[in-house]
Amino acid sequence: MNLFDMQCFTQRMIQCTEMRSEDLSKVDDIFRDLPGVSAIKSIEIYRDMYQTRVFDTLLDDFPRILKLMGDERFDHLAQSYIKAFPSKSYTLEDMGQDFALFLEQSKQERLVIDLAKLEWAVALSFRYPLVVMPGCFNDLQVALAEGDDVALELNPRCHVLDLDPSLLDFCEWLEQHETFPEIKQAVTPLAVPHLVYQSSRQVFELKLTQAESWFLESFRKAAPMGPIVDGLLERFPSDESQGIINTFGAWIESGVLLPILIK
Amino acid sequence: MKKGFHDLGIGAGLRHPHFRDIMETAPNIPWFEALTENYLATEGYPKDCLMEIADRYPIALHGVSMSVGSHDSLDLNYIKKLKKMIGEIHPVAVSDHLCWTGVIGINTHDLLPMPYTDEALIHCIRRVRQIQDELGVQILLENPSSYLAFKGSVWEEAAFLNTLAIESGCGILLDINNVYVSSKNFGFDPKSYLKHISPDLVGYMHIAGHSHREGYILDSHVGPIPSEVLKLYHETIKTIGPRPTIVEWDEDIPELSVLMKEIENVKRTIPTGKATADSERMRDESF
Ligand SMILES: [Fe+2]
Repeated sequence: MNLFDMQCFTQRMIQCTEMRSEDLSKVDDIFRDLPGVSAIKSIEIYRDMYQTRVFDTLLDDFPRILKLMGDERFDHLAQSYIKAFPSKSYTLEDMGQDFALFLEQSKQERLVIDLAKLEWAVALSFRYPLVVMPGCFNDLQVALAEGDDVALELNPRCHVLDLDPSLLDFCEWLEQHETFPEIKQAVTPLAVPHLVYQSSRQVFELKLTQAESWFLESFRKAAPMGPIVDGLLERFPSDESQGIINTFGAWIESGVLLPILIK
Repeated sequence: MKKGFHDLGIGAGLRHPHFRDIMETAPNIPWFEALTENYLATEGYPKDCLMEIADRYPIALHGVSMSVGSHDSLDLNYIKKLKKMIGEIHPVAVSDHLCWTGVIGINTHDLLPMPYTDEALIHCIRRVRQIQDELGVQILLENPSSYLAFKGSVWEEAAFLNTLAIESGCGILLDINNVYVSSKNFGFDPKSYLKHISPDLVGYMHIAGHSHREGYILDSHVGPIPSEVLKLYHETIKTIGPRPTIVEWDEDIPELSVLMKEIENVKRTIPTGKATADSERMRDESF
């Protein structure tokens, strides 16, 4: 057997979930038993390591999907995903890049697909320099109360679950909050379809104030976000500004966030 | 490899949980080995830390995705990124493994063992030459740990690796724990393995811990380093002379202070001055 055939067979054995009977005898033909383990067990060792490695990567990247679906459903989905979209990248960090697409193709609920997009956007944003993650909903209250006129909004087709602080806390806050009733109306126990985001408030607000006229002008012209981000980086080279812009840049590129004007 | 590389002593694998400590306390560790792939796809925090640490310490780049033995054509996108990184970091050494990671465009992200055949050897020699030409630097290949043996193999792994290094011009990264792990899994004498490796080809070494499983030993890189591996390390150095060495600790990664104690522990196993002088004489005699 030549190198190519040996590698193809070995790889197929490592990636499959179950060996067929003809595979079992071929394993015995190609590999030898070791003192402590049979050839078949040898393959199983590699298969287990493969499964663990890719599963752990998906778990790291999609913790909220796991929470939403539970261990068993997630395992099943992940299993089918790695079969349908085996890694073709030199880095495991790309393992989750087609997960949302896979969920879409396998006709999962809209909510799950959007959440996968959101989680992948989060994972991607860590690859940008000086990332500052958005996440604290309490800042939203302040931002709205002070009447910012530019903000970033979640794509209405995206849903947010259980971010930090928990959705329950967020719903409670919305209960007490009167200034943005349309958000309150839209809230369901699982989904917040229309939501304004704010990062570390002072920093982001400061940058928006500085950027205001240029930012507004760009939005009015509906400029694609890539040049907006590039432009901001040129104009505001401070580390924090770059971090925030890059974070949002990643989110916007993924389609989770939309730039909007608040009237 | 860079000038002065041979005297670097015992360093450590650079791991994410230690970034802050290293940058803030500048610990007395002579060099680090960074896992290439952790920094190739990012311009974010890890890359920043690596750049900062590389300003203060010698760094080796150690990869897992070169896939030297794969039948597929070389991933030039990967090589291009690696070359760029070499230009940024100016590593003291660039290494990967004697293995393949996938075929027909797929990556299993594992260091899969090669069938040690003539065909594979010729393939690897061509491949390493191509990689070194593309990168413009010599690479070192690490002996893998493995749990799988091809019936078609006609070469001993050590002889295969040694011939590959001679013919392609690459160096050898000798992982003492891997020699130990494979010797137990395959049932050979680790000293006979080392006899096949020409000391002159060994650029640096790895040392790490492992875990016992039912019927085999797993190269888990969980520390501390077991005494039998330290003993093999000691004997190797006694024979081929000291080499720069990296302590690899990847599972249950401890505090930096614990890792530093482990480095001290490894240092203590290095034969004393006289023994080292002996080793210089013995160096040519090999095992
Ligand atoms: Fe190693």
